[in-house]
Amino acid sequence: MTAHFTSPAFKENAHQALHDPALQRALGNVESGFIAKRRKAADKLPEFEALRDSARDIKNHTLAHLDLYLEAYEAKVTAAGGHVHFAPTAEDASKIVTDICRRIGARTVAKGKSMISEEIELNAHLEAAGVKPIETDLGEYIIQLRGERPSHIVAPVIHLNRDQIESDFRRVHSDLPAERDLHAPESLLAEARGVLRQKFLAADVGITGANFLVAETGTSIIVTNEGNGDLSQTLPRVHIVLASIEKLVPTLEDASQMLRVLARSATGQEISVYTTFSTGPRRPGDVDGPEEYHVVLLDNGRSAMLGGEFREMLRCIRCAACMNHCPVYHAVGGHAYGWVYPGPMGSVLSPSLIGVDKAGHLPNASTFCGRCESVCPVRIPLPKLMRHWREREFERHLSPATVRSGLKLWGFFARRPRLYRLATRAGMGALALLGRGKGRFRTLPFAGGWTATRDFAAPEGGTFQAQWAARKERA
Amino acid sequence: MTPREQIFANIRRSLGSSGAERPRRMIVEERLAQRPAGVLPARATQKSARERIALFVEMAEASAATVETVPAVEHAPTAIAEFLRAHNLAPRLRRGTDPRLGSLPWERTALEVATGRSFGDDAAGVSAAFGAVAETGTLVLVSGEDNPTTLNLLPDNHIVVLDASDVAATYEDVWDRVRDRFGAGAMPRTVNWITGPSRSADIEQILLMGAHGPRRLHIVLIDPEAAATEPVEDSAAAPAGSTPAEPRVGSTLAADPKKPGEEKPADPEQKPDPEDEDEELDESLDESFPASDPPSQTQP
Repeated sequence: MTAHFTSPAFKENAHQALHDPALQRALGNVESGFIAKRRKAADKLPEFEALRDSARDIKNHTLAHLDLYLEAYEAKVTAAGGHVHFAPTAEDASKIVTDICRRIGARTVAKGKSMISEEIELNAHLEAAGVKPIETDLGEYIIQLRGERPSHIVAPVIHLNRDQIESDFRRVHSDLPAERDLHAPESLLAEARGVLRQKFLAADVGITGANFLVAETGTSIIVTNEGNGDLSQTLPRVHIVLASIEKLVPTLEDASQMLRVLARSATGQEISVYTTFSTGPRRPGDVDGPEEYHVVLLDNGRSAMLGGEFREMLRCIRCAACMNHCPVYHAVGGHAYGWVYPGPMGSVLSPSLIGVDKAGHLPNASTFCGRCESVCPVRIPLPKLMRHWREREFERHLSPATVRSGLKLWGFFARRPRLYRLATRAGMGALALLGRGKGRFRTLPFAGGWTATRDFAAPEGGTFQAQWAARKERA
Repeated sequence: MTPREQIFANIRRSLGSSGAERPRRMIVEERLAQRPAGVLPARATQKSARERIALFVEMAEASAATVETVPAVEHAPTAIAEFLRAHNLAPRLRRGTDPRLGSLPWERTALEVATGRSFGDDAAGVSAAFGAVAETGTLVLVSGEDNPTTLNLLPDNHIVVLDASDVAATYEDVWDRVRDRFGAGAMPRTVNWITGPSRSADIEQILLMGAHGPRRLHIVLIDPEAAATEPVEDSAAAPAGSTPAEPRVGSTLAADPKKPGEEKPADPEQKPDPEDEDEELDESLDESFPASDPPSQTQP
């Protein structure tokens, strides 16, 4: 099975997204909701900025000693009766999971929300092995019914409206009375709760992700609001944790620091409803909990990132604050990015994981406004990292011919300062004249791609160089 | 090379390390042994014991949990029976074998009390908390026969008995207690931090209460000193402040069709709680939760 992505078609994807009225309506919920909530939560905690520094430092420290913390973590999991499996590639990770399912004769698997599972396309592998995966997070459940991919790493169905979800439920839950009222969103949730309750109780294996792994104790941590992750890992007889190697933190104290910034950055909550620390399988005397506890540690390119200029990306704790604050994400949504991770974090991570040849377009989808970096709880310099990718893309001659010839043309003028000044002055003067009064263009020859979805501002007040010279004179 | 060796070799190549360097190992060993605490919120650390408990109650209520304070542990069964009756629930519950719950005078009530794990047929589960965190109004429960994890998750109504002396300022304070109980570097199978009842905001970012876990979280706080200090409770002690209700909060409590026999009035004389469930949630919900903003522009 090969990875499915449409990242190379980012431009076409974005174009479609901009002309999809239902998507545009749904995307309004990103901008109106997340930003104000994060702001409020951050403002309520005077230590929030200091905690961001602390979170950054903890991750940097762990990454610099990752081999040693992994060793300590592995020893603790084993001591608690759990099993650690190492998966260098996505394919390896899926195989480890399907092998465990086959060994115990599993028919169904209850799944908590896991982006690693999306990254390795686990569901397709499970189905191929005759095991039925059931997504239990409300958003992921809807995604699975629709055969789609999440469009957001925290809110997977942020691209959908309730009427779309209602028609999916009517299509799939066909054993329920057709005349039932599903108009209100709470009816949709109540129906999903009822349907999934039975699946939790019947599942043979529970699979969850991990927000953090703790070296001190061999503990995996999940954070949810619905409680589905807890049911997935408590009721079935086997619990499998899917985690990538950079999820590690040294101690429970360090995990607590990270948890203080995670929910506030993600949903604006003081803390999520359920934060669950799991260590090994059922203990002697326990009356519930899984009999087997497995951790699958995925590398999939991360150990290589550790040695290069993208190491800082490994600090990411997947809170989604960067995409929640991104004007490009607000405009095109998550699916346009064409793979598992959208928004600024995806634009940096995806080229590392699937290759700059396939995802090199993504770092170009940025206005470099810097909002992502300004809200990142672990202070990842996302714009700088996107610039690194642009440089690499150019070096490897992966930029499209139009960009290269455009830059060449610009280079021709830039090497001839007098000609440059003349040309910019003439071009600007013409545009200013044409745009006089309105201040902006709705259409512009040769710039239809720009003006189709936004106006082009008309220039005013002289070229940059002219203004700069005037300012220097005044000073 | 095994997959394990391969990953370790790649990491070490990237870090330019052999993995054997003494100073690196020392740094890691020290960190694991000393466990530096980092930044702690003053809202919780700079509080007297009384203020800490008040902060816990305020934060728990902001998360849509309900809190009832009783002066002594013997009052807990009556308080629990009242809670069930107020919500029109049958006088039945399930608990673990925790001696703190076992020794309660259940016989003073008409409650039918079962023990053991839940298989999903219980309307109410009762647990004894290991501790709690004032900082965010979070309950801390540990797994085991005493308090089976399934009781935290499957019953619609989760009732937690908490001793006020177990309310800590920060998460870190609770980790110290976990280490005292289970040994340094060891953990019970599961530690659950629970802050409010289950919810989801996946549909249009509208906050809906009552997703897969309990739809109500009720805390019975055993606080012998509460009566003496209650009137002078300092509202300025709480940083969150009381905030206006969210514009739109839904709950599956209203939407779910009642299963026959599950929510019958305990006492035919007793009128159902007149207060509307949704209103109750609106009032208690702090605005820091992921509710939607505009009530909804969709649906003709």
